[in-house]
Amino acid sequence: MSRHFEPRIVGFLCNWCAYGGADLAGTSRLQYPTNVDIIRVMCSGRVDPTFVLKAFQLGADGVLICGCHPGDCHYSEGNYKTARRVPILIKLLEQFGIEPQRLRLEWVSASEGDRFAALVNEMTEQIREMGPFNRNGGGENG
Amino acid sequence: MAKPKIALYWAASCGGCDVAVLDTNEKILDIASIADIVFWPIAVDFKYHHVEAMEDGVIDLCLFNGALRNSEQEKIAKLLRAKSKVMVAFGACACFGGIPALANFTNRDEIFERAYIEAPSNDNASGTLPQTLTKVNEGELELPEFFDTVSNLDQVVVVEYFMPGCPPPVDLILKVVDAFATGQLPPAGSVIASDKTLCDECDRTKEEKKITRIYRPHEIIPDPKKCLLEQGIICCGPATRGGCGLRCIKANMPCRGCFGPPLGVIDQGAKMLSALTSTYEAKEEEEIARLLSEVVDPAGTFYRFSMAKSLLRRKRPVPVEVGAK
Amino acid sequence: MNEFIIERASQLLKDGYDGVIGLRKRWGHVGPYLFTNIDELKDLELEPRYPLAATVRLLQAKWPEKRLGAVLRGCDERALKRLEERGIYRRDGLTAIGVVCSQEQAEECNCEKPIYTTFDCTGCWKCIEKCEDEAITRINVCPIVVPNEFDQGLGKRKAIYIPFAQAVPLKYTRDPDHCLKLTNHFDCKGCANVCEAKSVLDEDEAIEETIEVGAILIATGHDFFHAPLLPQYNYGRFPNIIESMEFERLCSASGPTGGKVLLADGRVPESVAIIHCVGSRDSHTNTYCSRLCCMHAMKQAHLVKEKTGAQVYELYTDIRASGKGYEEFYERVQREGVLFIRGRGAEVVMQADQLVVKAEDTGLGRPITLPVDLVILSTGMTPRRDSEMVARTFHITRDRHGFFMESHPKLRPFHSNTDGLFLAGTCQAPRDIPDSVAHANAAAAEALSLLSRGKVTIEPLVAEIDPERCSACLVCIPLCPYQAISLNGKEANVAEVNEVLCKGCGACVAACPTGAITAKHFTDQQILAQIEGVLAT
Repeated sequence: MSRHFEPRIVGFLCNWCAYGGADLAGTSRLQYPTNVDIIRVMCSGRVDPTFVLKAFQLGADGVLICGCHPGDCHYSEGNYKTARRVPILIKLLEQFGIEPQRLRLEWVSASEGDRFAALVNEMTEQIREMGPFNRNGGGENG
Repeated sequence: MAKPKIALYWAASCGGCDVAVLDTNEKILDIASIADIVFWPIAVDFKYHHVEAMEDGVIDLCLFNGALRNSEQEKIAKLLRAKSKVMVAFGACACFGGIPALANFTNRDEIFERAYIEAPSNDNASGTLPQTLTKVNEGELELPEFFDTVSNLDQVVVVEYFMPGCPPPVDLILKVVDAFATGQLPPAGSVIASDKTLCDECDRTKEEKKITRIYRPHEIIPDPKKCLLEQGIICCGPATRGGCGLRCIKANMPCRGCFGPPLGVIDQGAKMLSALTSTYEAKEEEEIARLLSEVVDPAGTFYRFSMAKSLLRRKRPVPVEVGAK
Repeated sequence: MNEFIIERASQLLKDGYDGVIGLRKRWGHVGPYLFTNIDELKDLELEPRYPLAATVRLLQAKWPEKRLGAVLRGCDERALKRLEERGIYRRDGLTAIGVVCSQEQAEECNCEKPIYTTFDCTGCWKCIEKCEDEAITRINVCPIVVPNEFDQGLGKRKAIYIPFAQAVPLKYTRDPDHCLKLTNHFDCKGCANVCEAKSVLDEDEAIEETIEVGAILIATGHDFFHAPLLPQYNYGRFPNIIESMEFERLCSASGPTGGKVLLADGRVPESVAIIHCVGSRDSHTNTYCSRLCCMHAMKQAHLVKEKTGAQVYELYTDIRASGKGYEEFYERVQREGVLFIRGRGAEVVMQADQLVVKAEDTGLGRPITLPVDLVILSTGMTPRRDSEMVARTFHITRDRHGFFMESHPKLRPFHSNTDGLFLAGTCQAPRDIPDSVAHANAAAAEALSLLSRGKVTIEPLVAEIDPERCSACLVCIPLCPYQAISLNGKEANVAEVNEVLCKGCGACVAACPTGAITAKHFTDQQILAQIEGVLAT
């Protein structure tokens, strides 16, 4: 399909677990692609579906939301709230013609630097295969 | 002194907004007595060329209803904007796209295919589709160009006021006319509705927002005294502006969001989705999956009236190859 | 006893009896006396033993028409019975008041009367039914005996009991599950009758009090792995397979065997196997190491050697001996002759009445079978069975094993994620006594420090609700794990965030359908700006 396409993925990482895991990947000198731009939030439960839609509106090829494993949330249940929001959001995005693989919800703990690196790698390759998000496919008359 | 001039126009519209103006009943005569209606296709016999002949800014108030989905509607919108001092996006369609904007889940080719070829009542063996320019013996026939995407009014022209609602309620219409007549219009850019959502004026009892099951409105008869969302029926009231007088709630039906997003919310559907799923009382994956299956059409439910003004605005076609044109 | 007898004798006289025969001190010594006046009864004596049967017979023969009472011992009654059997005496008209002799008196007389041991009595009351003389009445102490939880079920206790010798406060308590009165079976007044402090309440009800506090320490402790969950060890199916806590009670001088290591049939074991990691370091049950079992297994091996001289095998996975003096103790125990075999105990079976432990000896590289008399399973430390309920009550999270989650594994191991709520001891993670003391001490110090400061520093990451935009839809209120959101009192038309309770997670912000809630320092505008920033080409 596309050889020189570099996916642009926006990542929302929770401060306590996922961001710590990404940090650990860095300090452990693990190699992983630079395609995910990380935005830190305090808890994955902070991620408003509006952010995801905004990212796609501005042309992101994928969105990754990472939080603590169920039961480990620093704020007790924030990740459960995310777990309830994201499935319907994926279904909604499908109705908008956005493939479900472009939005991913994953649990990464602060000690899982290698898992984070592997996850970014996998998602980048998957989206590279799928091709870019049609950022100009909206709003034009004609 | 000359009477102020009012124009009304309907674009991609069902006609309900015009009927709402007529619903003012005898007050319509008051309107007629304080102002001159210089253009109103449904009721009065003025033509486009009358408007074109006017000077810019001659029309004091233009109430424009309906979304914009073809080139004629876009042209008249721009024309009326030029000729009017104050442009009002009248009704949900003009404000944020309304029901016609749900066509943004499809496109012109699919619509034409369905309407002119597939539909069972067609007798169109030759597969003729509307063309913008058709040569006939007598000359050339022009049809407006049919756009892929439906827009709301302020995506095409500058709008001073927004009157949401499907249609706007009669008392709000009268308020606007009154304000206009007395010169006490609110600041430009205002939405003529409550700044808070429907929940603020809803008098049903609210106890705790925790639901374990979603019901579609035909599945149960809800208790008329309790909050509909708490009974499992998707009511868009929390994410919709108030000011409509609870006309649907009073009929024991859930709010569908025709007054659009509240102040400061850039995407009504996203907020409604977030609010709804936040009330789910579910931890196990199976429970979450079941709740998911109970919301049959998320996009249609959450963006019923505000699709054109949403962040994504329309369905994406399949991605094109990089480099291909 | 005296008052009781005197009261009964007085009653007889009041009822019109002509006299009561008893013992009275006169002229320097105790002798038989016919009490006819209630005032005289205060001089009634019960000791020493003076056989009254002959006196009774004589007086009754002299005054056959008179109604007489007599204060009689068991031996007196037996004597009168023998006389009756021989036809020398007729009992009619005599009302006896029974006297129970003390243990010393009974031993002195070599008397064969039965002594009632309250501890072994199970309250079946069969003896009462069987006694033809109706000589047994229910004595007013607790008739119910149940297995003793502190002794791991190996010993017994009453329904009113002191939990263990070091309990604080060291007071008796009634067991609401077994006490006849508390379970509404029977209006038993056993304990209440003998209580001299009159502190057993008739209507004992739990009183609920609300106390406002500034800090809470959770020190709810732990449980041990339930051995039947690993059926290969056949715990409960065959005798002499015990859990480590049961062994602790066997060893204890205040335990059910008084400190003797005995098998179920009372014999002393000659060989003992201690299996490590039962329910720890196991992908089928708990994956973590319980930290303290290696050390207590070694201690138990040492005690077995000391008390019985038996052959002890320790089947271990790794030896964790990382405290002060721990490694040295390990060496000492090896020198005492305890055999350490590296290999997990795989199975405990019964072969012809002999317990056999099957394991692999990884040093030898082959499977082994060990015939032993006693198997001790070193069960792993687990969270308490009710920890989920406690966690929910106090809004603390549990980690993936069920222990209460610390705020930071390295820097804040005794803080929970809720301010003011501290974790102390094994409820947070498996640890031994010195570590528990240190941990709990630290938690207490932190709590005291918090209370003594007079001020609380909170993070500025809080949520704020704009009352102009809030429509009181109530979606946010149940979402807050700290219950920081509530309606504004009577008007109840907008929601409010309590800044002190809010921890800034933002769950409410994302859910609010009007955008009325802002997360300070993580606002929608800030995040949207970041999204725009990273995607700007």
